[in-house]
Amino acid sequence: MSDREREWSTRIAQAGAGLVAVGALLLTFDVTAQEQRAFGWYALVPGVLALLAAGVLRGAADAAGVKAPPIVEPPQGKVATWLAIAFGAGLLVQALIPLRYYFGSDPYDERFAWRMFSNVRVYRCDLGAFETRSGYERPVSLMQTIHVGWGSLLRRNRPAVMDAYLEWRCEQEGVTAARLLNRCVSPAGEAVPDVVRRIDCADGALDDGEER
Amino acid sequence: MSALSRTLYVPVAAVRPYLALKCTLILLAFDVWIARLYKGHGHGAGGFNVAHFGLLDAVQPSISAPLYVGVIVLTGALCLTIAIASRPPRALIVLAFLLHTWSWAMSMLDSYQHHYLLSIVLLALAFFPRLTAEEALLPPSAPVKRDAPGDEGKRKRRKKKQAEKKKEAPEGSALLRPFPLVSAGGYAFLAASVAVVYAYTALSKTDPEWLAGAALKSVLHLQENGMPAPGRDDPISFFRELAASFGLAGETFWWFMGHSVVGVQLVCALGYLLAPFRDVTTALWMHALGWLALFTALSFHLGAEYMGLEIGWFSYYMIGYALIFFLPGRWLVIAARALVPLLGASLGPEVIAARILAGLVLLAAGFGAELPVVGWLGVAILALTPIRLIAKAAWTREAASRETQTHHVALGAAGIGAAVLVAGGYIADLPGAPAAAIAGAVLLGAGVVYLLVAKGQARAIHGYGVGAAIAGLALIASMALSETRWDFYRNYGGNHRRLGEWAIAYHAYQKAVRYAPDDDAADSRQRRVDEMRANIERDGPRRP
Repeated sequence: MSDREREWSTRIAQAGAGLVAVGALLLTFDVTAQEQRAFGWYALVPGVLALLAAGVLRGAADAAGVKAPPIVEPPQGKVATWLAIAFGAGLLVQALIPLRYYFGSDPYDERFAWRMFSNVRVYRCDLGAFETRSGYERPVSLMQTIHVGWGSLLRRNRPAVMDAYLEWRCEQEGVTAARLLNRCVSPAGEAVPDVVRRIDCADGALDDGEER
Repeated sequence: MSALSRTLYVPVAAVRPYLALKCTLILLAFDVWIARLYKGHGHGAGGFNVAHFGLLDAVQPSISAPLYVGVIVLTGALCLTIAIASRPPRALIVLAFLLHTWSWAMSMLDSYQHHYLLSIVLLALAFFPRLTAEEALLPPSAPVKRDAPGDEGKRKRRKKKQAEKKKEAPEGSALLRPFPLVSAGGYAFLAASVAVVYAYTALSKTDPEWLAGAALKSVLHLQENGMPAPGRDDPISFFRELAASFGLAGETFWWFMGHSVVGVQLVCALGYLLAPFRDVTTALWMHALGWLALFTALSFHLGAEYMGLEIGWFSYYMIGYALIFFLPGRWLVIAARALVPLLGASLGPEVIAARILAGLVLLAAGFGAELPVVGWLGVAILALTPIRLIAKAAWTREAASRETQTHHVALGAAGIGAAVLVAGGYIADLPGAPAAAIAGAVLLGAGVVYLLVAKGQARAIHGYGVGAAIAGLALIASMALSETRWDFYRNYGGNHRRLGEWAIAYHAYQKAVRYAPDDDAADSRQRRVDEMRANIERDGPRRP
């Protein structure tokens, strides 16, 4: 085991623990004052990353000192290299997929972004579905048209489901246009922009827009 | 060895990957049958479906309830079979990964994120070391090697060698002897994958409405003042009172809750990233972090269950992983040695005594405190000792038998397994289940032919035969002891009633009546059946 690695690991861990403590203290002020100054996160997150670096450094150094041979040896040569590449690529993909949500333009499609019980998930929404037949637009009873589970997904503004639903309605006889209008409020009670999706069955053109 | 290799292939207690593999597969089998199968009632209803990926929409067959149920039944049966079989091949775990992934990806009606997580877990499991219970649990100084029947000379030499090693082995309880280590890149990959989930969950909770507690109030169905609506139970009364004892009340309490969730996720993420080093590190702070991560993960997931924030069986998986990744290896080995029947090796009478004691305590506590699951767990633990004795007797007899007899027994086990699985598919009485069970039996048959012809391994067939038989019985038990069929058929009937498919709704409601719980609503259920029959007589099989 390398004493130098251990020493460095201890120093980094101490610095990380210090940053975490400072961050936690600053966040405690935020909580008691009920203000979101967010400075605490700027100390806490680097502190956690420092602890991670220290842990990996120390763990790798300690692993080198293990005397008991493992009953399954690690792969060697090219197999080890390819497996390491595969694991690394797998992790990179997992880490990148949720960024699609954070850097994308659709705040509603939270799939694969690990946003369980997010604030978006608990928006309260009122969905209206409309169809144009013989030149007149009239409301559609979603309950009698589509499975109730799809109604929930439409209410959550899933773009793929909204588009597929509108295209599916165009396949019904006599329908020349269809529209979905979803009005939502956030958990704090603030209205968010309406989501509207329309289709013109003549050319299958879909348009979206947020209007209020 | 490079620093990267030391990190990726860091030695871990063999019991960790062993338990992670077995527990995931067993839990997943019952999860898909009990908690997910009934949700197939909506698949394909009205002819509308959207898959999670556009490519799937283009290539997959028309989605329907029977197809979904079939995939679910087959996924569960495969998971249980390979969990029971000794040293299953990676290809079967990859097959389970593909089936499970298709089961949720085929339709956006299934949007639970933990199903996606389980796909990642199954993929990681395919890279786990292939270990038998004996290899994972017995002390490294006394490895159990399996001899081909009739190889007397080799066996005698090995016995002599083992007897010599036994003399050198340290004294003390067999339960407490050292545990073997393995290099498991897949295990480190799984730990890092779980850490990614916790890290992004932390990020998602830094939204201002979460930090201020507004989103949490909404998730818990509380009023804007944070109190439950009149006449409703307070789902967080315990936490509210606990926080109040520290002076946290009113809005400050909600701000604390909102912020603490982020902290909890960060601790869990860090804990999982460093978990692979749990068995090799000598740093006290890393051991302390392991305990902190365990406490944090358990309190978070148990707390979520307590507050009614269930996401399917997600909490059960995460509680299991927290125990497997963060508990000291020695603790896990002791528990596993006490609970897992080992073939061809005895850990002494104290293990049997401990097992019986644990079984009795769980049995008494479970049925005494009206927690039947705990009580049945106690019964299962009590049954382990006789099962182990029978297995050992069978092992001894089998080892002494001739090669041809082994073939007969192996083929018999596979045949019985296939028959029980197919019977389970029919007894389940769900659309798509018989076809799935037949497909499972065909898969088993193909595996038997492959093992016999290509590899000449008759002995390996036993595990798959026994596994398939247990999967068939477990499917029957899952359907009989849960309300899966009732939930499936009443919703299936309701969907088709709303869509005007009277004939399908009529047959579904008839089945729902058969599997309904014993309560006071029998008359209203029968009225639904009569209503659908009247509709058919008036309109034909569907609404005009």
